[in-house]
Amino acid sequence: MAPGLLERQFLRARNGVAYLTGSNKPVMAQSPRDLIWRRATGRLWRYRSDARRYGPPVLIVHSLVSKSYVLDLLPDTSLIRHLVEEGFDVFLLDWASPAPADAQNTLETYVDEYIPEAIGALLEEARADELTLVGYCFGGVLTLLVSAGRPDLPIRNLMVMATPCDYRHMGMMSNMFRERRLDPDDVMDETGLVPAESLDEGFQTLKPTDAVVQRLNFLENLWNEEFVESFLAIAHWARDQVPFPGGAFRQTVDLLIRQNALLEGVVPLGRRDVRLSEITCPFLNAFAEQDTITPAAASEPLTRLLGSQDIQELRLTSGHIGFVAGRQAAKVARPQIAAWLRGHSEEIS
Amino acid sequence: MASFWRQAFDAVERPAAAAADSWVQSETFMDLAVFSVRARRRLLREVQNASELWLHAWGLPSHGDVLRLRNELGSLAREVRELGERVPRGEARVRARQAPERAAA
Repeated sequence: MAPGLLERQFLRARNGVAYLTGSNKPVMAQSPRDLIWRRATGRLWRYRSDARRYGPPVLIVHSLVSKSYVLDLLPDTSLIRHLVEEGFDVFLLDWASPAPADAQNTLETYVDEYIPEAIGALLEEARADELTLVGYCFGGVLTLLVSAGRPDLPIRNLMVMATPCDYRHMGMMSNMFRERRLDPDDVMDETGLVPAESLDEGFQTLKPTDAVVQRLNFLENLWNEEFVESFLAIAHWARDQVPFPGGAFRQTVDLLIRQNALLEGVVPLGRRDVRLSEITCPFLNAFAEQDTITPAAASEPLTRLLGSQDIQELRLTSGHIGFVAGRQAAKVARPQIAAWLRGHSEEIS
Repeated sequence: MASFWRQAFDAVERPAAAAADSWVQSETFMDLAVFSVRARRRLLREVQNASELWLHAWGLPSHGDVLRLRNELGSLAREVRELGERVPRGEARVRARQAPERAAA
């Protein structure tokens, strides 16, 4: 039962004081895990579980621009915890904040070196001979390029969440690069990295009034502890970007934004052309209709660009975070993602 | 149901948000944003140059010196890392080449 007016005022005051003193900061990424492989910024984690029921193992590749704790935000709103509890053997490949030594990393560094090497480590660790690859946001771009560019890797299934493909719909910053008003070097610092603040500024301009509306939602629901905890966790994550390696950023602007190469279906990478039509494994394209970071229009075309026979689409009515937090995540996203994975896995003894 | 003040806010916010969204997509905004990005960089560079002159006059290291050092350390770290990765691979190749020879001997 919802508390009465007086009780709400009391709860509001109590939670407000806790917020101002910083004593109700949520603790995120609590699922127990082990680091099983590391190279430069790349880290491969395996989540502990006593009840692994399905194979092959699932490898989630995280984005290069944000921190991966969004996938294990809070115990009740954790995509990773949900998948572990459903019986999957979950691995996460994420990226530590790059140092100047990583500024020259290119897309090839990730697609041809780090991810294949991490896959090798995963297969050895899990004693498996194939895996399901899942990419979140820009991590989805990397998994697409790996799946298309490395046919030697035993990728049984591929899923991408909130992954851009048609960069014409990626908002103001992307438009400025496409129209050559801005060059990649304009936003890089002296170390060759794109600072986290520049990325944050870019994200803030996607929905200029959002900060005010979010603050108001927070004040309105300040009496609700569950809302406050979830709000603070998401708000913290949304401003907690990591620098982007300049080499990969230049390619992102040249290939993905200016040439819109993913939409064309052919991405020049290294000394070869990577063709999305060469991805033939089962594929799930999950995106959210109210996503302002990766709008649905930017993700949607992927469904028809791949060569797979088994292609499905999961369309959420939420925003970018709707895969991991909120009612949509609990009722639609997480169960449907788990159902698709189950349908493309088998029970192991 | 939303409170009266919230309904009033939403009634104002919706058209304001739509206007703000189209404003950030406008030519004027983009021109201003580009100008602001470039002006900020230029200003920072000028300030750094001026402070560098002043600090060097006193024999002190400047931000630019620290940065150059950081970049050099960065590329050194990268080279060391690449060497560190190449050595075990080379060793493995040598072991693989020697294995049949040893077996034959």
